[in-house]
Order: sequence, then structure tokens, then C-alpha cells
Amino acid sequence: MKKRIIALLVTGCMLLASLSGCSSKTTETDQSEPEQSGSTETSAPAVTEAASGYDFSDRDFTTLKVLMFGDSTSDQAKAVSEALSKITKEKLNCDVDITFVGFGSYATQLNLMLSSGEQLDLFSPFTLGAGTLANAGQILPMDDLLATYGKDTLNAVSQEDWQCAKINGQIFGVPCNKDKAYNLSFTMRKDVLDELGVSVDSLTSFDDLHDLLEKVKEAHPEMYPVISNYGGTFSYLPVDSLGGGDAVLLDPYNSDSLKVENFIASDYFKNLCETMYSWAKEGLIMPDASTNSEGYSSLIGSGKGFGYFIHTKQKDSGYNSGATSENGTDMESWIYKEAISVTNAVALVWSVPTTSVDPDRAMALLDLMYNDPEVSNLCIYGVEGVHYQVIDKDNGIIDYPEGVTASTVGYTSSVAWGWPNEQIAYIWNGNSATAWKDLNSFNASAKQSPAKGFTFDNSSVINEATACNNVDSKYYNALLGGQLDPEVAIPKYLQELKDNGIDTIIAEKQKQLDAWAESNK
Amino acid sequence: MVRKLKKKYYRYLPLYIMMIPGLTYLIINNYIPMAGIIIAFKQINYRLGILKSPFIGLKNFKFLFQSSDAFVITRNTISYNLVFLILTPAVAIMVAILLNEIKNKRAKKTYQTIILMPYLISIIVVSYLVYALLASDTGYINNSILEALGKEGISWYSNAKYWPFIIVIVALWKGFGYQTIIYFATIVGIDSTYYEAAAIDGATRGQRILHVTLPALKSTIITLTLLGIGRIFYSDFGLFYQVPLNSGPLMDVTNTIDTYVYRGLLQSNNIGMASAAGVYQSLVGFALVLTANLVVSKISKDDALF
Repeated sequence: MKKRIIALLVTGCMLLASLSGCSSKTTETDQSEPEQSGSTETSAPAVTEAASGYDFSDRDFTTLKVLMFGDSTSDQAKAVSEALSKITKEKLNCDVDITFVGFGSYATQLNLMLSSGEQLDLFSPFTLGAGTLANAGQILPMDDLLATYGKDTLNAVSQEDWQCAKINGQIFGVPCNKDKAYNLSFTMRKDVLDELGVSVDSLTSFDDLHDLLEKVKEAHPEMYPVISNYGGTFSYLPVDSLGGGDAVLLDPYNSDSLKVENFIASDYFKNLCETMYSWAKEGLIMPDASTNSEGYSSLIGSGKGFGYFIHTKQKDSGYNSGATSENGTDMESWIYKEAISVTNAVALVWSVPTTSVDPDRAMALLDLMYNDPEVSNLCIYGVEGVHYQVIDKDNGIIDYPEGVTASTVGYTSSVAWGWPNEQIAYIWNGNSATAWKDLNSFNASAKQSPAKGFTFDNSSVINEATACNNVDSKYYNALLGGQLDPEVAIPKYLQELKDNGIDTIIAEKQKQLDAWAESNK
Repeated sequence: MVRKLKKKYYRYLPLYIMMIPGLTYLIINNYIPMAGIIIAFKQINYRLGILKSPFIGLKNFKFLFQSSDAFVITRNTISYNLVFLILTPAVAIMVAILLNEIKNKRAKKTYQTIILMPYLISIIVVSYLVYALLASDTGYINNSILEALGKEGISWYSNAKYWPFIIVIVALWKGFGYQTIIYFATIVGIDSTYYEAAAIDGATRGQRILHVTLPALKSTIITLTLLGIGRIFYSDFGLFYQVPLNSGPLMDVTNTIDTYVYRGLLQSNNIGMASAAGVYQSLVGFALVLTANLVVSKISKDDALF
């Protein structure tokens, strides 16, 4: 009998063991970066006055923890934290501790930190998205914080950008002051282009690109002419996804219409899939594109790929050089669709989590990072003399100190765009001295989606959204990678989306969008 | 009476003491987290905390049944597990018996190690081994076998029809070694006098296996099967997600409850819905174990778990 009871216990425990392992399944895989990161981000020389001080001397001395994505080593991050603490000790009566987490594991790590209740005071939600975190109560609404401890930031960010950072009417993050629009491009190896004697400027349509790719295939059979990035052949397509999913604005470029439609049912999607399918048949796209588990930089770097579809920033500065330093070989981009600015492009923000020990001071630190050039330079480039040196004082141009190179510096400057305000920092050598002016005019001149500023809250259609996510993962990448015959697969895709409630999602999005448009008249 | 009871406890005291560390571990690791089941019935808001978050009843469970894929994922999960439940012990017992017939000690040890090896390899590595075989352009099968036969290469990761077999083969290859060791240990423990008696009665080698070895393995088989039934609503996430490289065209035959939940909630990051799926899986598994055990105890009382 005793043996039986023990056996029962053991069985019970085994069942429970499996149960307890289930709640952590929702970790996130890495998505493509929202930005084509340029290591050589730029800035105009600092002119603004340092941020006004807020007095925290009556509060206990504390240490604020900041989380950032990027590949800086912990030694160098510590050195920068120490230098930064010298400033904050005086101004905010606190130390700052910056932790870096690599791109691949950032979302997972962040998720764990937020769920476990560990102390964290300032971070960027990055691929997790501020919307889900706000709905789950993991980040704080910042309207009051900004009004009390972030006045300079509140004034520095445009009303339009604040709109994009609002979730259900409240601000949940400070938008990074970076490029706020993107071009859609095909980025390719310059040496191969030169060898074939083709200039990027001669490309005008996908047909031209097709001819070029055929030439590449002939001259370099060892290269895949088009490669995918972790399974995705395209990062963005020329629609406004209104916060993600298949319910989109089909033509934000030319039309002011706010009609939400099913992207999968559109002619554009069908034509694109057909093009990709025929390219794949001709061997112009890497086989099994949708199951490729490598990023483009490793494929290009190892000479196995020629080019890839990606979204890029402005043409003049930091644009080819960014791709070049990522891939380790000279790259050039053909822009097939000009720049557009949608909510998503502005939605990279910095937020204060619920687990902060002192949200007021975290806000004040963010205010400092956004407005104080000294602090911004420290965060982005590290310590002067160690991680960089000024080579042109008048224009604020910097470069590596003597004897230091990109591979030995240990503090990455390639995520400048991910810090709150790169525009008040120095300019990295190799970019034009007017890089920031260029960026601003790029942002200003880009087409604006009529729905820019709208954010979608999917909590009322979460079951439909979950089901449709599954349908998407079945077809989307495989169709755009040319692996499925659109004639057969698209009707099936549409039917499954319909069965799983895409119409409910579209109706809900339309309802929210209309309400948003009404309130913004 | 009381004295007798006391004496009995006294006699077993060392055993009870030895149980303490294991029980403590089980209670901390398996029983206390059970309180987390309430997450499945709540809309979690971290600012309010788990206990204060609003109750939303069974709303979190809805997504599992609402989708048109509900049937497919349930079918896949259960039928793959049924196949594994039958094939894995069959292969494992066969290999265990063969191992037992080997007389050379060193050879026996070597085979044991080799058989167990796949079980110890990470599923990620397995997925790349499979990829090395099946890749469209560089894979071994397309390049070295089909080409040599003059046949056209197959795009394995886009054709769903091959995958029920590939999944089963991979799962068997990876999983049978572990069960082989368990069965082998039972076989080694069989009293050799049974075999001698059978041999004296003129039983051939085959008859000895059929009438001595297999009946002796019966309770091990039943225990392992019952435990397997408890996990019939679970699937090895790595096997169904990593090995097919998350390929869309294969999902009709590779999507299981676990991968469905993962793909669906990747974006929304909703722990309430993820927990709901876990609760559902465990409850069904628990009910199935109880039923199966009931059936077993009706047929052969000694072999039931409890």
C-alpha cells in the first residue's frame, strides 16, 4: 500500500512538474532590428544648455539601473556607468548602472526582468513594444512624471511624436530622437555591382532588378542572389500596418483614406508573391528562404549572398556606411519605395517600468539623457580618451583614440539610434558634418501616413489576433520567400484568416482608427 | 496496537528521514507553484500584482478552442504521442533484448553508450543534423542519394507529406535509447533460474524471450506507458518547432498545442493565456492517467500505479 501511495505522489509530481514549466513559453525571439543600425551615427555639435537640475538631495542615495541593447562588454559598460555616476551623483543624488544585453536575447531578458519584479529603472521596450507592456501594467504612464521631472523633454519632443507614443491617451514612453521614417530598399554588394558594371542608379523597377540578379547568378553561382533575414525576405512592405498584423492601410503614400483593409487580399501582395515565386523557380532566391535561421550579415559576410530587401534611412549620411560596417564589405542600396513615416517608425521609446525604485528620479535621469550633451555622449560613445577622441572640435567630429579599433574598443557606438537622443551627441568620423541637419530634413520631407500617431490596442480581439498570428506564421514568410504557389496558397491563406476572425480584427481596428481620427480633427 | 504501530514507524524512521530532502524539493518545486494556476483565470496586471488582478473566468481558455486550427493541433498532438507510445517501447524492448544476448562485456558497454547518445544531444543540434540531411541545395539526401539515382531533389521543408515520417523517425532515434536502458536494467534483474528452468524444459531462445522475458517486463511497460499517457497532451517543443525549422508549409502536420501557443502568444506576451494552455494540458493528462490506471487495475491489479 505504501508503495502505491508513493507512486501516486510521484505521478502527481511529474504532472505538476510539467505544469509549472508551462507559463514561461511566451518568450520572444529576436526580430529584425527596427533600424538599419549605422555604427557611424552622427550629430551636430552640442549647443543646448544642460538640463535644469531637479533636487533630490532630500531623498536617500540610490542606484538607478538602466538596460540597453547592444554588444558592449560588461567591463566597458561599468567604466561608462562610473563616469556617468559622477555626473548623476551631483545632479540626482544617485549612481547609474548600465547593463547591456545583446540583440538576440534582449526581449527575453527584459521579459524575465519585468516579470520577476527585479529592480529596473529605465529601458527601451524595443521589440516587445510599449503597447503590450502598458496593457500588462509593466510600465508607468509618464504624463505626470514628464510634467514634473521632464519639462525639457516634454518641450523638446514634437506634439506629433508624442501622439505616436500614446497608448489609450496616455504617454508611456519618450520617443528616441532618431530617423523617424524609412525607405524600402534592396541592399547589395558593391564589389559585385562594380564587377558587372551595373550602377544602382540604373535600376528603376523590379524587372531591372531581376535582370541584374540573373547576371549575378551567372557570374557568381556560389552566391544566392536574394537572401532572407532569419526567414523573412522583406522587413517592411509599403503599407501602414497600423501596429502590426494583416489589417492595414493599403496606400498610405498617395491616399488620405483611413479604410482598414486585409493586406493579404490586396493585388500588391498577390503580385509580389507571384514575382517572388517565379524568382525562386529561376533560382534567384535562396532555397528554403523562410526557414533560414541566419541573419543577412552572416550570409553576406561569408560570401553566400548578394543582396537582401531591407528598410533603410536617409541616403546621404550613415546610410551605405551602416550597411557596410554591418556586413564587413562595401554595400549599396537601391531604394524602390521612397521614405514614409508611420507610427511604428517613431515608436521606439524609453520607458520607466513599474519595478523602478524611484520613478521620479528615473524620469529625471531620462530627462538628462535626452537634453544633456555630456550625458548623451557618454551613453552613446563612452568615455572620452578611452572609447573615442575629438578630432575636429568645431564640428564635433570624433573617432577612435590611437591604437583602438572597432574590435578592441569594447563599447559599441553602433546603437546610437537606440539611445534617447543621438542628435545632441558628437558625429562619428566619416559622416558629413551636417549629418544631423540632413537627418532632420529627411524626417521632415518623408511622406506621412494619414494614420501616423494612431496606436492599436488589440486586447479586445486577443483571441482572433492569436489565431491569425498562427495563420500568418504558416503562410506569410513562405509566400514571400517564393516557396508556395500563390495561385493555390493565397486563397487558402485568406480562407483560414477568415475562419479565424480577421474580419473582426479589421472591424475593431477601423473602429479605433475612426475614433482616433475623430478626436484628432 | 499502539506499540506495534510505534515499533513499525521506528523501524522505518531512517527511510522517512531519507525522504525529507526529496519531498522538500518536490513541495517547493512542484506543489507551491501550483498556486500559480490562478494566473490562468486572471487578466494579469503587474501593477496590481497577481492576487489583485481582475478575475476573467474562462476567457483565457477561449483561444485554444476558437481557432479553426483547434482540431488540427489536438489531432497532431495526440496522434504523434500515440505513435510514440507504441513504437518507442517496441523498439526499446527489442534492442534491450538484443543487448542482453550479447556476451562480450566491452561490446555491450560500447553499444549501450552509443544507443544513449542521441538522447543526450540537444534538440537544436538534432535540428541541424536533420537540416544537413534535408537541405534543398546542400543536403546529403538531395545531393548524394537522389542525385546519384538520377532523381530530382525534393524540397523537404516545403512538402508536408514527408514530415509525419521524419518526425517519428527523429523522435524514435532520439528517444529510444533512454527507454532501452530502463528495459535493459529490468531484464538484467530477471532471475536467471527462470531461464535455466525453461532451457531444461526444452524452450528455444525465442520461446524463452516470449515466455520469460516479456512477461517479466510487463509492469515496467505498464508504468512507462501510464506515465506517457499523462503527457499525451504535451509535445516536445524542440521536436516540433526546431526540427522542422519553424517552416510554414509544414504546419498542418507539425503544429501541436505547444507550438500553437508559442506562435500565437509570441507577440502578445500574455502569460494568462499561456498558463491557461498549461492548465488545460495538465488537467486532460491527469484525467487520462486516472482513467488508464483504472482500466489497468481492473485487468491486472498488481500492475496499476495506485
